[in-house]
Amino acid sequence: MIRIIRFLDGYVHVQLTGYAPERFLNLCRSRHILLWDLQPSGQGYGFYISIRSFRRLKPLLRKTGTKVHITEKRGLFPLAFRYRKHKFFLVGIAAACGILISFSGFIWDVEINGNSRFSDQTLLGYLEEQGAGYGSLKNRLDCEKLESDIRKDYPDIIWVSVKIQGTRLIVDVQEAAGAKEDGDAQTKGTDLIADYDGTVESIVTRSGTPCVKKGDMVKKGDILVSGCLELFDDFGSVTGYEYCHADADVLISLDLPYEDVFPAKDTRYKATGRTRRRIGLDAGSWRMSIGLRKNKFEVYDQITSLEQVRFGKNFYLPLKLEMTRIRELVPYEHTYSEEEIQALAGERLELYCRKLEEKNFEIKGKNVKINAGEKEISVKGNLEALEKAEKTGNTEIRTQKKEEGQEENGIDTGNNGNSS
Amino acid sequence: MVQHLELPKDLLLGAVLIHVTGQSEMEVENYRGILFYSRERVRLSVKEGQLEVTGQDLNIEYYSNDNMKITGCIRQISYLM
Repeated sequence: MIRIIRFLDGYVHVQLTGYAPERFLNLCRSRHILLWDLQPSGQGYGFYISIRSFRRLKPLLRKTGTKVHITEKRGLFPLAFRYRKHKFFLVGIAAACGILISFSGFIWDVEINGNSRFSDQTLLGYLEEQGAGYGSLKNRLDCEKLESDIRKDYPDIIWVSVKIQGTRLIVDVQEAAGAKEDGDAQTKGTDLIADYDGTVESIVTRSGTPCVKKGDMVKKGDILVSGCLELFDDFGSVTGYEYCHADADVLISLDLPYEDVFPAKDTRYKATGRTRRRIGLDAGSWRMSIGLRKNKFEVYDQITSLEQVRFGKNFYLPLKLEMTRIRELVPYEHTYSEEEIQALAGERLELYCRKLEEKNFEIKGKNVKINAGEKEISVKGNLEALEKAEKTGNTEIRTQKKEEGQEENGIDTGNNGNSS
Repeated sequence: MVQHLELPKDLLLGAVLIHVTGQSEMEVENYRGILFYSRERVRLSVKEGQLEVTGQDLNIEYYSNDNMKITGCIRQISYLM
């Protein structure tokens, strides 16, 4: 920072010679004239001094009988003076400064933190609608209004902070913890339903009425845990129903058929070693590139990386640096060996199992057989899996008639009991 | 009295204050002036007398009314009464 200030102010390197240079240094000190990088050289000293302070040295030089000789000029003004005849160079510097200053008045990057329910795209789209997107003017943005608009339009966002740092708009949000409570849970409920045919391996119920027990065979569509809770009186008769969202860990063991077919030959690509590179600048609709223009390779792969140009951490510019590398390839046929077939079949089976695990299946065992033909390879077998039931359906609402009847019966019995 | 009241000596007596960082850097406060300066020796005027720093490639990085910073390979710091 000090260096930048010194550069803007302008400074010179001077050579001090004469009768009493030390006295000169002490006078500088007492008059608060700052010197830096003081080094002895020859008969005197060399040091740096700002142009402003240099103008104050005359009386001190007269007093001490010393002389100064400027050896180097540094800073913005000396530089401008040196290049005063190179008009276009100065115009270029001025234009670059002007462009940078004008670019600094816009938003060139939007960062959203803390969102999980609302995607970045959703919030970016919303900000765009509100006129606070990429390329919007900074002084037209009202952060406080934007905060209140976000809170109003997204009730699930309980806290939001919008701030501008450099050319970045930073939006920090905090979403309401947990899902919104359903107000109609008392009158509506959900059942947990079997998604596949199988056997119940284990059942742990947290809310709802379990309808199956361990070892039961279930079919697709059977209710595993009901969302209807029966309310009993002291005599064991049902007085009413309450509804809730059935919540339970029900593991169903089942056999899943597995079948996979893939060709015995594969087209592979080998790099020839010839590559071409392209560097480009991308500014929205305008694009400039250095390197190759036309790609003459017939078969190739291409890797392009885009990086937004920025100064420091927060000063983003509306320019993207594009680096492209194109590699020439030659295709060739490859027949799988026995080991490769086994490895590939295993890999594909693993991938299939992983997809099943993402769908709440736990794979307990694999029983598959590989049939290698000349043209294609088929893999068939069974997978023993445990499925965690997650499918839900609306609970059937039972009428209260039965309940009223029960109550009446209850009163009757009571009366009978008293009379007898 | 300064000792009894536990007051800082550098403020009340104007004693020289030296901070040395390893062998390569030192900061001097409360000095009065530069008496001699070469690559091998820096002699400063302080209230108690003179302070001499000897070493190699000594460089006064900055100096102001209050403090100065000397860098280089410091070999010896001595008081000359």
